[in-house]
Amino acid sequence: MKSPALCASNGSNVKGRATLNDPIDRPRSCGAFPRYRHMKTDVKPYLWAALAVSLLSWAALEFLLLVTQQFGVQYHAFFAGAVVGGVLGSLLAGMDGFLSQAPNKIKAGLKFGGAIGAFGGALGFYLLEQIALRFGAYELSAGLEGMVYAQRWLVLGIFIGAAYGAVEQSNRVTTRNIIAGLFAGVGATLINGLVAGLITYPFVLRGLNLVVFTLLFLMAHRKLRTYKREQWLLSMNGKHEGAEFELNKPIYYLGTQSNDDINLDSYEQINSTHAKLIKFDYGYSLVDNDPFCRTFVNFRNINEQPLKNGDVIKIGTALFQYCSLA
Amino acid sequence: MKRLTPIFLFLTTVQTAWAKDRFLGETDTADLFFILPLLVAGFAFIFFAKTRYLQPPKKQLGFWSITPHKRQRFFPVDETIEHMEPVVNALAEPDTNVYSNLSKITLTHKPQGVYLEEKNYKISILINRRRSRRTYLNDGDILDMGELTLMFTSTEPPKYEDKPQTTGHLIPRMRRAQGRPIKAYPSLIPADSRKKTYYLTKNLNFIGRSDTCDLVSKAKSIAPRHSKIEKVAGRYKISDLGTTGGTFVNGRRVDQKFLKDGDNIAFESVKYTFSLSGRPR
Repeated sequence: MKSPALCASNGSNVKGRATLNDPIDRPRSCGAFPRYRHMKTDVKPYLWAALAVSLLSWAALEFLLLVTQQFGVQYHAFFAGAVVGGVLGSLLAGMDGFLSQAPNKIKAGLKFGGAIGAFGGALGFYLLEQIALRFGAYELSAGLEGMVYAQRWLVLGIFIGAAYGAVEQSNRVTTRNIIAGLFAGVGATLINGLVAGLITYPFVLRGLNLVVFTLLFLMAHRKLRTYKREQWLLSMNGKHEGAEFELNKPIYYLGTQSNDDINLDSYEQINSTHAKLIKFDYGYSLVDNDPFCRTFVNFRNINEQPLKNGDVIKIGTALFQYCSLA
Repeated sequence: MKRLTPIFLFLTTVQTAWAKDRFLGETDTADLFFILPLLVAGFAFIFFAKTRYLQPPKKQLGFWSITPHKRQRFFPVDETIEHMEPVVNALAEPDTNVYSNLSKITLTHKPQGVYLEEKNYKISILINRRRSRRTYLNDGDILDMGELTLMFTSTEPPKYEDKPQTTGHLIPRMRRAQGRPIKAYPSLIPADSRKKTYYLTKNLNFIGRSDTCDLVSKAKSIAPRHSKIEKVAGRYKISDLGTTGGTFVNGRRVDQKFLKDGDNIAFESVKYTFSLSGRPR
């Protein structure tokens, strides 16, 4: 019985419920339960992802430093920043698409994350190195110089947050992830700056800094995922089971085509672009896109139907629940 | 603020804490051997996360509570559970109102599946958003009881009354829903099975070789504007438009004719079947 929150073993687990009249009062084994109902929103895949991302970016950074050392390239902070930012940005922004198994989101994440992250990394690393060199010239304090160096994480975090927003093409997601980037940047700046004094071996220091930054960023991103979220679709069966598709664009296409926003190609009896969700003042409205394919809301065949909280949408074999605040 | 001041002083003044950053310090030759293992380990973690967490979860006989904005929980159902009371006790939050006598909503375990019967005087449960006294529960059925929403899951796939069509024209079609009837259009089904069925969605349809026609057939025997099918008082009338080749219905050359279900229409070599059922045959 590992997770009492997910599986109610018997009635007595729920607070405030009468247990005396409960006819079944016996332990139930929890082992065979489908434990990953929330796998799309669970913390564990994010932890493994953070580890994988930090290891890969660490390897890339080591390789680059080796090359710059061999060839004696100047401005190695600039190139190192570009590589770290590019790899971190593309992998972090592609991670959402990877965890929600949306191929075009992975593609957009790798593209936007790589470009914006590389720019942010190069800018942060190079600029702050130059500023720190100025401080070093005045010999104010070694601590002050170290503080300036540590702020590269803040710049990188903000740019990676912006890359996340570019993937989703939505102001709300951009705001959310820039806040996450700020949080991760401040946290990584503090922790990495303090740790820098303790660890003198640069190889270990690099790995540790990257792990700290990635972990903080992904945790902040996960926490802020539902911040100011108004409408979303909850998938209830099949490949996407447990996934929450946030709705914030004016129009969403649902179907089996690869450029559909909510791709349902693993389900049966669905047309290429089967239905669309259109935003109105009151929320979203589901519109059937093809008169020969049926779209159901609350198990009634519809052409166009404004949705309310708790409505069950059925498209082919795929089952969704529309949830909204208020 | 008083508590934070020493921390702030510590952070800014202690030299060892904010030492010179060696983040981009020189690599040692020994570090060379770690690059490849790091890469391999990174990809291995991605693969591990994919195989362990990105598979659809296993199905099991039971109920999920899917009430919006409430925690989603699962309750397994076996032969010992004969009514809904233990299910609702386990899945409902303390502040969820359920307005029904749950011990009178019984679950019978039959070889065909779980059979749910509502034995209250007034129906207090919605199954798939409809009032229902008794039903076999299928995978993915939604149950509403007051403020609580449950979803039934089982290992068996949902049963449909008619099997999904696998041959012929593969237009995705669900089984007939209750409520509004299907809006069916009469159709022209080509004898050549490689061509598409044409649905007569308009009141006036032209058939010919010209691209301006509604049903375009590029055969040589067809005139640019060969014939028309128009809706007259609820029936469909085919008219020849003065062509040399002629329009044939059931083997006879016609000038004007009202079409029946199943009529064979021919423009010399090009043949169609007129179907009123709306379902391609």
